[in-house]
Order: sequence, then structure tokens, then C-alpha cells
Amino acid sequence: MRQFLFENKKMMKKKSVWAAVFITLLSLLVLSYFHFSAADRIRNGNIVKQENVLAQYKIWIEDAETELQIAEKNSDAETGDAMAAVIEKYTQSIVNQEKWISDYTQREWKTILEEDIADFELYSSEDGSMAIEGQRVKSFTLRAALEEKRWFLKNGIDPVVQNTSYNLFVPTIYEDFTGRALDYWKQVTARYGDTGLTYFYGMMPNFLMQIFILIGCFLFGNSISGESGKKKKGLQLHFVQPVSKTALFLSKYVSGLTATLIFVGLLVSAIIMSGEFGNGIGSLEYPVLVYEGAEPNPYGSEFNALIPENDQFHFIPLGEYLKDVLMMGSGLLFFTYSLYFLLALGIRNQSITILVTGGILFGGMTILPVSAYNPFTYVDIHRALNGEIATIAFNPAIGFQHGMLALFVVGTAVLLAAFIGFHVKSRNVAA
Amino acid sequence: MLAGTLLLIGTLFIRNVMQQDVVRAEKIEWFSGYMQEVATQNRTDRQMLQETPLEELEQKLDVGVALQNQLNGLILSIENGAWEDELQQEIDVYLTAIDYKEVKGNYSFSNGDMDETIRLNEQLLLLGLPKEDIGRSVQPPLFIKQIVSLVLNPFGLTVLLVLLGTVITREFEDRNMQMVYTFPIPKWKYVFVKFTGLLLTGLIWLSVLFSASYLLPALTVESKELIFDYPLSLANGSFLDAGTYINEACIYSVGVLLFAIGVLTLVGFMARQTIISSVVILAVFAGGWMSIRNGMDLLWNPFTYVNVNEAIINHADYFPTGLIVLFGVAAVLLAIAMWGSRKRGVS
Amino acid sequence: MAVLAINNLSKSFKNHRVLDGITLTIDSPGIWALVGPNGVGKTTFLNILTNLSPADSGSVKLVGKSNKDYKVFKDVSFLQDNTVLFDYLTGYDHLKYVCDVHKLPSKRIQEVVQYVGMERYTKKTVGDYSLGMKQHLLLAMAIINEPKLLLLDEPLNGLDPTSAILMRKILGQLADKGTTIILSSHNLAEVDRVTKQILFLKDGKLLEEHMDSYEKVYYHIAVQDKPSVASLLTAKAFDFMETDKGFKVLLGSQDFQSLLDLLHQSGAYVKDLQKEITGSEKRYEELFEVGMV
Repeated sequence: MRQFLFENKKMMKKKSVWAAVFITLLSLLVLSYFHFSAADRIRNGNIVKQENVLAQYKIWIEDAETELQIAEKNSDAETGDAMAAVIEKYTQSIVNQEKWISDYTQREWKTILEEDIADFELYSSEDGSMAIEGQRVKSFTLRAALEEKRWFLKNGIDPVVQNTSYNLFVPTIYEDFTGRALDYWKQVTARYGDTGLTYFYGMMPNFLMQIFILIGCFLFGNSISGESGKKKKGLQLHFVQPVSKTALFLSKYVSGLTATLIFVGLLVSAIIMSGEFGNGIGSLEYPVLVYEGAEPNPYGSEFNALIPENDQFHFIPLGEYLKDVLMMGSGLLFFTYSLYFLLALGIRNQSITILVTGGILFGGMTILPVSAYNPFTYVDIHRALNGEIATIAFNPAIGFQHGMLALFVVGTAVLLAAFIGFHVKSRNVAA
Repeated sequence: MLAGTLLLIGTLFIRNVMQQDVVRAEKIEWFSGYMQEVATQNRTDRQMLQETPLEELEQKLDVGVALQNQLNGLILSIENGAWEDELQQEIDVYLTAIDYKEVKGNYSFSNGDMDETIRLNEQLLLLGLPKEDIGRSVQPPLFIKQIVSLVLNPFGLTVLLVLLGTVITREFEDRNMQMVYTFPIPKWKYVFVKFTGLLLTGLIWLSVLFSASYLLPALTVESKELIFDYPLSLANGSFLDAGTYINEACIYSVGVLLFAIGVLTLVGFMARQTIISSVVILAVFAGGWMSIRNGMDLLWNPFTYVNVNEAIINHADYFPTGLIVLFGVAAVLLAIAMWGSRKRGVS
Repeated sequence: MAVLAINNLSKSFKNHRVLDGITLTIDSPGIWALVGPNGVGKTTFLNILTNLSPADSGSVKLVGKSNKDYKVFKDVSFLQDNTVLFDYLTGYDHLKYVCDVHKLPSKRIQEVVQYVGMERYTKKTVGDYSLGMKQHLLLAMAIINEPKLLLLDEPLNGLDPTSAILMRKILGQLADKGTTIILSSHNLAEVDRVTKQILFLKDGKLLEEHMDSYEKVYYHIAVQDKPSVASLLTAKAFDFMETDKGFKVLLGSQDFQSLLDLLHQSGAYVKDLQKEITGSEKRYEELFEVGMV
């Protein structure tokens, strides 16, 4: 315990670490501010687009009025009636459009969502469809988008900002657009969280938490390597005190692990709190799409295929997702930190250690076969938790429970390896 | 660092070699999907025609049948490896597919994409070159392009700078700088010397990167004649030949390296600690990446060029002005670093 | 119980044998100086004693226990070079840590701080310490637990005269109180002032010698009338040599009084008289064949 307290004291007194934590936090907040500004710009852009449509209606009404006057002059009743109808139609459109703009600006989503739901009910019905550049949007995506809107409506949740203000799609793994359709799809389904929680959720697929964990390891995982250099030999001081090597190892390991955990928690909190730059922290009821996966083909895995018409999904509240992310994030942190700690025993340069650790995580995730008991499968926390990996791999065992187990078991094995490595190193610490 | 780069290039090249058969299989699968789409429509149209003969439907069926046959021929050409036939047949398929769409047939590929492919194929036929899968080619210039996309981007550059950064910060951390600052040279000159040293290291790394990416395929795989004229599609719809692309990539890489080393020198000499300088560099490049992602890929923004491939493909009109931006920003960064270190001590 | 028991200790680096079957037992308090040229393996020897480096063969027992048992450090302290200190911590932080791991009361910190004379700067971070301050801190850390065996690696390095005197006094007092001290040094003049018990490390062997047999006393005499003094020194069979200002006289069988009588007899005007004692240096020269090229 005394050794552990001393390790914590050392950590607390390193000004460079504090400065790095401060810089990370500040950068994160600045980047978040940029993000929310961008989201706001896109939202305003959507309003301007609709205002342009409104202006267009007005021009058309003016044109129709001119033609109506000419028709009245020429006593052309037929044209006059037609123009009157046009004017009436566009006048109504203006009323609708103004209402829409007002609703969108005020974030009064009820009417907008009801209209959107009606559209999507049609698209996802047997007679309906939706295509982009001639390529059809898959039934799965249409159904998911519809359900998401129903969730929004039912729970009074605001949708996030997208580059379009109507027919808001949710991107799914079932889409296989190519060429221009793909570009367009990417553009219209790009989502910009305008609350702290939706921003965090939107950044998760970009490996946000994994980057936080790596930075944490980089800052706090060097308690051994940082004390066994040529000009810094603090480790040797500990070795001539009446402290067992096991206690020394555990003190160093646990103090760094705790600090990393607090650091990652701090950054995640900062991301969520940064929602105050935007539209507040947001709701924990925001819907998170979870894939239920496809049934493995009974005739063999080579016949496995995603079936957009049949495959199922459901939504869970963001609060539940966040809880799972934090738990699996802790598991991944334990695994990553242990790996970093092990590597740091052999690599004195912490920049190289962090790159090797990141390389192993990324390499393991991309090269190793996806499996329920492979910890690298869970490096992509977001896709592991929302069932994306399980669906693509046709392996329903890939999920939270197995993920936690794999990360904990392999993390413990790596920790043991680090412990053995430390003992080996300690035999010749003065080398 | 060099070993890691060579390992990456080697691994990627072996992967590309192994993927060549997969590329062909995927092409066949891709066109088979379209053939199935057209064949299904033809079957339905035939049944409908038997029930109610309609001129419009008949016309659609005629074009549909022709399209199905052409797709079949195209698949055969791919299977046989007859690349000239393949290119011509693909053109024919798309011309017919555009007609097919006009007669209300369904072909899930946009007209714009088909137009672009037709133009590319025509160009390739003129040059006598087969079509390459840009992301999996073993031809030297296209392999270089792949490496450029993979390495010369914000992520790759951050890794490079974090590794190189220790050259400056370690000297402060190990107190070597206390000795260096007693040498009879002004501090600003020492900053310049460090900058030059890092730049030279970076240039050596770049030359290894480009040479290895060129030599590995050139020495092991038979290069096609005129492969450096291979047309690459730009975002503005025009083509850029692979040779010019590589020239621009080389030039931009040097500019980007200059800019990056400028950032590193400034941050390294200001922060003086590995931990802090690494975090700052990460924040700077993450911020730059975010600015580009949010539509700030403007001419004057040096981060526009950090992803060299995207700078060439998406902003053809920025070349060569973009270089002036990179050189200018690098000069400013270096000047600040030199000015800032003039009177600062080491402790 | 021997405080230090080394049995057949060997260590090689590649083809270089640093320690060659060393056997040594020390079972009484006192100060021993470990002497040898740079690179001979003094630090390696101390590192092996404290289990910071492994030996190829042989065994070491400190205060009756194997040096591999971490509990020996309850009674054994090792003053290493100052790179073991943490720049960002204060002297007090270091002392508090050592005090805590030895489960000593906090008042012991105050005692040792006063004893070593570092009250002024205990609250400063070590990064701001001078070389001497760091040595003081290391010494304070090493003696806070009142060890039975104290090992010191170059403790006199970088010390100003005041600190050196203090260090010598402290070591003397500790030895008097019953601590066995082994210090490595290549400053032979300082060694001679601290102890006469020397452990010469040469060709992997440890030669334990007492400097009493090597001690020689010289007098440097500056005189005006050199020829008359020279003839008298020769006549009285003094071992001497001429210097710029006079003579360097070795007191062999004659005593200091005989030399004073001789000078008186000569009637020469004595401008200066200085005493020089040499012991370990002479022996060192013999052992390590120091010569001028």
C-alpha cells in the first residue's frame, strides 16, 4: 500500500503529465467546439435550402399572377382558372414550407417526423421503394429508418443534424452502393451529433475511445520504462528498499491503470459535457440501432448471406449503449494497458511503445479471424456492441458477454506475461 | 522507421499479388449480379408480354435481351483474360444499359458512373492498357499511388512525427541540450540545424518510400508499356496520367514533409518534453483532419495537402499553388521556432 | 553472524572477467574502501552485493540473509548515484517514501534531515538540487533506517570541502556506532582520511589490505641555504630529494624531532614546512603500475 501511494504521488507530481492531460482536454474541447459549429452550420444550411425553396414558390406565384392577369385581360378563362389553381397550390405550399421552417428552426419535430414516417411507410411497403442513382435502398435500411423515426416521435427525441432535412436515413451495413450513389449516400447519411451524447455516439465508430485509451497508456503506462533508462534509474532505488518485487510491480501497474481509467473517464465526460457548446448534453433515450444478425445457412457457411428483407434489428436507448460502451471500454483498457505495460518492459522509447501497441491492436483487429473469443474482435467496441461484427461474421456469439470474457482473460494473461517479464528484468536491473 | 516502412510496402505488395485472382473473381461476381438483375426483368417482361402484348414492353425486352447477351459476353471476356475485349464489351454494356434505362429498364448503376467508365475504357483502349484495380494493382505507378494514399495522410504523418519528435525532446530530457547550448553557435542556428537534420531524415525516408514502392513491383512483375500514362479519374471528371500523378505526389510529399517538420520543430523546441510534444502534434493533426472533414479543404489551409492523394485527386487546381502555401507555412513555423529559442534557457 | 559474507563470487562481461571467485567475510563494524581504477567493476561489485545485477556464480549473504531476499534491506542500505532520484519530487518526498517502506515514525525524517544538515532544501524539488545536495539526500535516505551494513557508491563525488568534511564525520560516527560501511571511491586522498582498510579490486580479485604498513610521512621544507641543509641531510642519512624551493624529506627510522634538530643545527632560514602522509596512493601505484609516459 505504501509503495502504491508513493507511485500515485509520483504520478501526481509530474508536471509534464499534468500539462499533457490539460493540453489533451483543451484540444478535445476546441475540436468539439469546431464540431458543434459545423453541425450548426449544416443545420442552418438546411434552413437556407428550404428558404430558397420558399423563395422559388413566391417567384412561381408571381409568374402565375402575371399570367393570370394576362389571361383575365384576354378573357382566357381556362388559363385563368389554371393559374388561380397554381397560385392556390403554391400559396398553400408556402404556408406548409413556412411551418416546416419554423418547426425545424424551433426543433419542433413532431410534424416533420409524422410526414417523414408517412413517406417511409410508403417506401418500405411492398409497393414502395427508394433508389439513389438507380440503386435501391435496401429494405432493411428503410425499415430501420422508419423505426428510428417512430422511436424519435414516441420518446420526444430530436434527430441529429444531417446534410438533408427530409427523408433522414440511418446508415446500415446492408447498403452496397457503388460509384456516385455511394458518394451521395455517404453525404446524406453523415450524421453530426448536436448534443454531447449524440456527438459521443457519432464519434464511437471513429475509434474515439480506443484513441483515448492509447493516449492514457502513453501518459501513464511508463512507470517502469521511465525509471530504467540510462539517465533515470529510479527503479534501482525501489529495488534496494524492503519492498517485494510483486508489491512493486502491482503498485506500478495498478497506479498507472487507475490513472488511465480516470483519464479516459475524464475525456469521455468532457466529450459529453461539451454538448453545452451545441444543443446541450442530450437525451439518454436516443435510439441506437442494434443488428440482430442473419441466420447461419444450414447448408454451410459459404451460403451465408445477409437478407435485407428478413434480417431483424431493434433499437436500444443510448443510456444502455453508453453503459455497455463504458464497461467494454474498461475491459479494452485493461487489455490495452497490460499490453502496453508488457511492451514497455522491453522498449524504452514510449513513442515506439505506443505505436507498437496501436499497431498490434489494429493489426489484430484487421488480420486475425473474427471470433467470439478473440479479444481483438472487440477492439471495435461500437461494432461489437451494436451487433455489426456478429452479423457480418454470422456469429451471434460475438457480443458483450463474450467480449468482456475474452478481454478479461487475455488481458490477465498479458498481465501475467508482464509480471514474469518484470521479474526477468529485475534480475539485472542495473544492466 | 525505415524497416517498418519497408515491411509495410512488402506486405502490401504480396497482398496485391495474391489478390489478382480475387480481383477477376470479384469482377465476374459484380457483372453476374447485373446480369441476374436484367435476366429477371427479361423473364418478367416475357411473361407479361405473353399476357398483354405492349409495344413499349417489347422494346424494353429487346434492349434487355441485348444487354443480357452483352453482359454474358463481358463475363466470358473477363474469364478468358481477354482484356481488350473486356474493355470494349464493358463500353457496349453501358451504352446499352443507358438505352435500357430509357425504356424503363432497371440497371442499378448510375448513368454518370457509366459515362465515366466508358470514357476511361476508351482512353485505355487508345493507350493499349488493361484496366487495373487501383487499390490492388501490382503495376509500379498504381502501387505507388496506393502507398501514397496509405502512408501520406494525417495518420501516417502523425506517426512519423511522434517517432522523429523524440530527436528534439530527448535532448532536453536527457540534459544534452545544456551542453549543446554552451557551443559557440547561436541558439536559433541550432534550431535551424535540427530542422535541417530532421528534414534530411524525412527526405531519406520519403526517397526510400517511393523507391521501394517503385522497385518492388518493377523488379518482380512485368510492367506494362505506357503504364505511366494510365488515366486516373479526378474529382472534377477529367483524367490525370499516372506519371504526372507521381510527379505531383513526390513534389507535394516534400512540401508536406517540410510543413510537418516545421510543426515538429516548433512544438519540439517549445514543449521540450516527449509526452507534451506528442500530445500537441496529435491534437494539431487531428484538428487539421477535422477541419478538412468539415469542408475547410481550402487552398490556404496546409492541412488540405496532408492527405497527398486527396489533394491531387480532389483539388487538381491547387497544384502548384498549394506548394507555396506549404513552403510559406513551414518557413513561418521555423522562423517562430528560431525566434522563440533566442533567449530561452534550458532549465 | 557476519555482516557481509561473500563466497566465490564471479562475474564476466563477454570475455572480460570482472569478478573472479571473490571470497570475503566482514563481521565487525568499521569502514572499508573499495578502490580500483575506473571500469574495474567497483559499481558492478556493489550492484551484485545488493542483487541489482546477477552474479555468474557464488553467493552473497548480507546481515546473515541471502541478498536475494528483499527483507535484507531493512538492515542494509545502498547509496547509489544520483540518477536514482526523481527530479520532480522533493527531498522530503524521497525521505517520506523510505521512511514509510521501513515503517519508521515520521519524526525520523526530521532527525535525519538535521543530522545531515539539509533543512534548508528538503521542500525543494530534486531537479533544483546541486550535486552536493543530492549526495546529502542520498546519504539521508541511506541512513534513515540506521542500517547494520551501509554500501556507498562514490559518496564523495562532487562534494565541496564542507560537505566532504561532514560526510567523513557522519561515516566515522556511524562506524563508531556499529555500522559496517563499504564505500567505493577513486579519490585516494579522501580514502586515506576516512579509513585505513582498503579493498583493492584488481583483475577480478579483491585484495584486502591495511594501509598502516604503507603509510609514509613526508615533509616539504622550503629553505634559503639549500647546500648546507643538503649536506647535513646526507650526513644524517635522511631519505630526501631536492625540490624547487628546498627538499622533500621522508621520515623513515628518524623522527620529526631529529629533522627539527638538523634544521636548527644547519642555521638555515626555514621559510615553510608542510607534512604529507601517503598510504593508499603508494600502494595503488604499486598495484596498478601507474607510470608517466
